[in-house]
Amino acid sequence: MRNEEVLLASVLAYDLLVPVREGPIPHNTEFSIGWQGGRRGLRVRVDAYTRHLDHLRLPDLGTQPDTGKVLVDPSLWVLASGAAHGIETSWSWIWDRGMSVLGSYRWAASSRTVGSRTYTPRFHRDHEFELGWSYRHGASSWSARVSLRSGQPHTPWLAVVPAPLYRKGHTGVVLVKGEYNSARLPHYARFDVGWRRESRVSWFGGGSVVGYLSVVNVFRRSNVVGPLPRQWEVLRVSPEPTADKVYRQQLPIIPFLGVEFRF
Amino acid sequence: MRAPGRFGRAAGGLLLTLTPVVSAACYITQTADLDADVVALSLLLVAGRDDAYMLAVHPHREPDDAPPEISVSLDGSGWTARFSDTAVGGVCEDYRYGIGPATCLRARLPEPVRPTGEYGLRGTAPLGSFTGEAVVPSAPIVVEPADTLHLPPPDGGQVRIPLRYRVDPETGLLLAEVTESGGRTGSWTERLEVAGADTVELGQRDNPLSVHLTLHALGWNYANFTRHMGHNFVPPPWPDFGVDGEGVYGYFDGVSTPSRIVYVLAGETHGSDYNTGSEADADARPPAPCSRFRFSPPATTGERPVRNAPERSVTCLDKQ
Repeated sequence: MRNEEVLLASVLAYDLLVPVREGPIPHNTEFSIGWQGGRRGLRVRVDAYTRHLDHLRLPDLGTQPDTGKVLVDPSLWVLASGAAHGIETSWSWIWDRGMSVLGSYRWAASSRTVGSRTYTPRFHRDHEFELGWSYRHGASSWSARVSLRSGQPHTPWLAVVPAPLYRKGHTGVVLVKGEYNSARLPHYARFDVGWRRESRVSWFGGGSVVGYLSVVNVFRRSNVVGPLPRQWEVLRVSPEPTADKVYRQQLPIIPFLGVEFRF
Repeated sequence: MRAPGRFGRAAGGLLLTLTPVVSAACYITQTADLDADVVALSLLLVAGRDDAYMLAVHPHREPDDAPPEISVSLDGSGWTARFSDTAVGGVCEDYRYGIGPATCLRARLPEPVRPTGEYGLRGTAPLGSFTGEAVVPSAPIVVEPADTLHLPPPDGGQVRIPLRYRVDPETGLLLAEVTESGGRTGSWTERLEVAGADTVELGQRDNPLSVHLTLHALGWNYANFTRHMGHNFVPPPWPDFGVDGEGVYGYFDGVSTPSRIVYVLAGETHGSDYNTGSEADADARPPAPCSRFRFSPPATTGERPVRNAPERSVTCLDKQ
């Protein structure tokens, strides 16, 4: 029931599954090829795939696809199709003296067709790169993680058109949009770091206590998930309108400090 | 014991390498995808006028930036007029607050704008060339009421003014311009159904009440524009606003000459004095603020003529 094209789907990680009551049954046709190899502590895997999806059930986009409801009555969904192809790689390097590096890169292209409209799904990213590093020394371990992703699709704003209204004495504004999901938001970048230290304890018959400190989004990158059209007029007449405020942002910098007890 | 130190240095080196890379990625400016060279145009050809005013705005620039530099010409029946000088008038006077730097351009036309006339627009803007088409609607014909409508006193309640009229197919939007000259004064416009009949409703009003109204017909391009105003974006395929071109948005349309004036009197109106015939002076101008007035016969000695009113038809009955 989840409509992933609406902006609210970015913050509501919730879905309700319902059976498809009437045919045709959705199906997926996929071809993939892969290779994997390794030497000493290094392991590399590469996969390529192409996929075709038929008889999907997707919501009709309507004229304002990004402002609807997240959970949509399935009876209102329409037959749709989709396609995707891409390459996925992953690698790991594990040093026997406490250091390891894990990473992945993925490139993909994806589309959905509902009625006469073919578009890129809003959660799709062309490129995704992840790199994680960890180092363990004694009871302590440090870790860092880099995530770089290309921007998600969004529908571009072509113009904010102000125009005087005849004999009204004031100005009206028309907001002109481009083709659905034809533009890309700024790319996503995040850097997390963490530290943890484990100590053996004799509590409750013995166990371990792990203290940890981690910081998510160290550089306070305001990764964006979509535009904020309702604030546009307000921002433009404010003294110093900034583009940052135009977008709906994801997580700010978040520190975590905790203790974990295992027995 | 050397190994941990080496790995520590490796770890530190990796962090030092990653930090500037990620920092650079994080501080890339997040610019909105709005082109600063986009131009918003507003142009209404007013039937009967031999000039035309066009408002051009760079809506995505700061108000202190330079206004649009565009070249535009208007094509009529066998003639072309350029928007060559800057002067404030027409539609520009309705531009009350600015989003970005604006300029008002004027074109002097070789003939007055004709009702039912078809006009074209050609021009170049920073992002490319553009064209436009518009048809000027004919003046609406008021069928009912006759030139004067006498209503019961408002008595603190609502006043309803029923109207019947005819408009031509080029009319996409119909406005009633209401001018009140009783205890309250001022004028405003009310949107009417194009379909031939509607009612203008006035809220709480004083007794007596005197208003007059005229109807103005505007074309479909302007009507489409006003229907799509608001917070929701207009996706493609866009409705026809009369302007088509790369990086140029707005409306180009025509507005009719006003209909004949309908006078509305409610309450104390000296009812025996006004004319309820069907003949009306379409060129009559709005009377100045006046709580009581009458139409026809012409003003006589001792009664103060209404400023700017047709000499023979409107007389203010306020005591001097």
